[in-house]
Amino acid sequence: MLLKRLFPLLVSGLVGTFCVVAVNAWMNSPAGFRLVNGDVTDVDPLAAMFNDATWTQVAHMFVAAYFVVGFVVAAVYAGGMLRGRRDRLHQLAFTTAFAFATTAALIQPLIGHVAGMRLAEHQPAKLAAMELATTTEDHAPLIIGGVLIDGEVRGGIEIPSVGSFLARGWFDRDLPGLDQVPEADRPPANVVHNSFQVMVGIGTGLALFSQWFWWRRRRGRDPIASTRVLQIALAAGPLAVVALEAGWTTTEVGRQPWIVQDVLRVKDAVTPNGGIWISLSVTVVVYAVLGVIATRVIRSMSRRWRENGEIDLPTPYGPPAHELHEAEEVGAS
Amino acid sequence: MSLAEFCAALMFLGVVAYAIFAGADFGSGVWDLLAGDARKGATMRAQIDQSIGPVWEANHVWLIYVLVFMWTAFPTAFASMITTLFVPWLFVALGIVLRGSGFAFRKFAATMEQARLFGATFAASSVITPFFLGMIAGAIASGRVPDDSGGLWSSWTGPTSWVGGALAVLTCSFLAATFLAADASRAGRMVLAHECGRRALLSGVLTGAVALIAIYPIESDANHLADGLQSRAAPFVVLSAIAGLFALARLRARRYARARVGAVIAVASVVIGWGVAQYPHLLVDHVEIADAAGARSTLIGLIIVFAIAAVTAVPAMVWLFVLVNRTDWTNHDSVPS
Repeated sequence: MLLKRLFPLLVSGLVGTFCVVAVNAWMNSPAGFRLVNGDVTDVDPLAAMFNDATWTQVAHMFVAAYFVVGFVVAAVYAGGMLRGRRDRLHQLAFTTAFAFATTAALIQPLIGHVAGMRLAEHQPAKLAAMELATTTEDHAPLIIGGVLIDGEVRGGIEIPSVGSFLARGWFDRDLPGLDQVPEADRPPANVVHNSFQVMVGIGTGLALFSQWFWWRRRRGRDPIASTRVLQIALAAGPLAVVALEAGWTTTEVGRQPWIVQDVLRVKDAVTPNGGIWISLSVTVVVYAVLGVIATRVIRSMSRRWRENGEIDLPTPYGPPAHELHEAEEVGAS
Repeated sequence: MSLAEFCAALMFLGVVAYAIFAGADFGSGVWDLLAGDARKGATMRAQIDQSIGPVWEANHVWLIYVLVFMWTAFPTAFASMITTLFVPWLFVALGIVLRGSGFAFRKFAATMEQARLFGATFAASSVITPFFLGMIAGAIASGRVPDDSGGLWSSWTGPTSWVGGALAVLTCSFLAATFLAADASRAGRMVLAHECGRRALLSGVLTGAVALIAIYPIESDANHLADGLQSRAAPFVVLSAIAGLFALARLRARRYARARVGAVIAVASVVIGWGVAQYPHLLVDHVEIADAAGARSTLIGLIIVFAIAAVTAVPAMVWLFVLVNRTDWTNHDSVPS
């Protein structure tokens, strides 16, 4: 019965994710039209919707949503248990959310890998920036950390041939480098590389942590009893959000300077209006203030609910209900 | 009717729906603003909370519907409109965001001071949002949005825009007061119902008066619109006037449910009248529907999506309104009576 009621929610969640991400996938892998003398012709909406990048990107984001929500919800209850609220509901809520997060964390690297495999062909500049590859080569190294200064990689750890293996599927395959891309069409490699590594690093770390958690639990030692485990689980919430945002940074900054890959540049798509900084600042300030207020209201609700089981003011604002009742009577007479 | 015109008609259906449903929603915020201090306004505010609570923000579906329709079916006209009217749209967006959050926060605020602040935010943005939407409508109807980008300020501050803004706020207030009167009366809160009815009558008369006075600025400022209103769209103007007068008469007779029907017809027909009057223009004097239409395959896709939404989303929204209007919700104990 409950499942029947949740079904529309699940379907609309899936369709919503699909539609939003399909648009972004189209920006990475534009399809379904021809450009003739600057005019768009032969429009095929279905081909645009189901472009090369759609399915992998939708799958990647759909699982990422479970990854983030799983770890964030688990973090809330980990925080509660750290404050000594170790009742059955806290434990149950933590374990349920953590199970979702674990599943997502296990599947995600595989999907991410498949999603990345299309880059060599369709978005070599993005791939080169992600891997910090300056020259196109086979047996390309995997570079962990590091920054690109004046065209040279500084400070990273290089693992020979692994870059080619991970990005192309085998050690002897070419990993495209930034030298393939005209200078004007290169994304800011340091941002792309480091955000990519932050995403992969956090994803891998949390996948390992969650595996270890269940392994320990199966061995009969309840990991929830450990303060250290709960502290890591608490940190995992914000870390998961950072991983998600780092992933979006990778794909969006990695596409620069294009807004639609190889079709339309950001500078040609931007509004002719001035004052973008003003509207951006207003937006940032408004949402920052709303964020702070929302957090405060929710925290205060949680506190009041714990203390006396009451979260509503009697009316939007006004004296208690029984006094109003009298006021209405007086007004009526 | 061409494919493009059919899409334009479907899009305008969303404009009409938004004017009525969100109109009543915004207007409730206007009355919340005018309800007086915490003690005096408590009954009114509780009624407003109960009346719009369940449909809270659901009505913005229509705005999203209209915007998606416009950028999909008429992308260049959409770009011109958003670029030119960037400032008022920013205020609309700001108003919608603050309104929604204010309404949600005040119900769960920790103290009376906080609730007052959030409540005032909700109420004030309920005035700001329809006002700027009305200004946007006025800008388009008076031919100030060209097929490119027009004046960032001058395009939406002409006489027709001021008329549009004022009429939008008044119309919302009239609709909302009528709806609130009907809600309160159905729940047996007769003192409150009559108070809302009185306000509905007042705002209805004021709306009519402003609409009459508005003829002069519109005549001189928006030729195309004025011509259309006097010819093609004249039947809708007449229908709106008759329905409006019917609503006022029913309000006087304290027949709020009937008054509500009249108010809805009056508002719907004046909005439809605007659309008919500016036909075949999408952006008056500059862009016609046929010229702005996107690719044929896109329009067909859009119509298919509309059909899917009609069988999935519309029944859900109708069911929501049915539930809200059922007596067990009406007599829900959150309103002191």
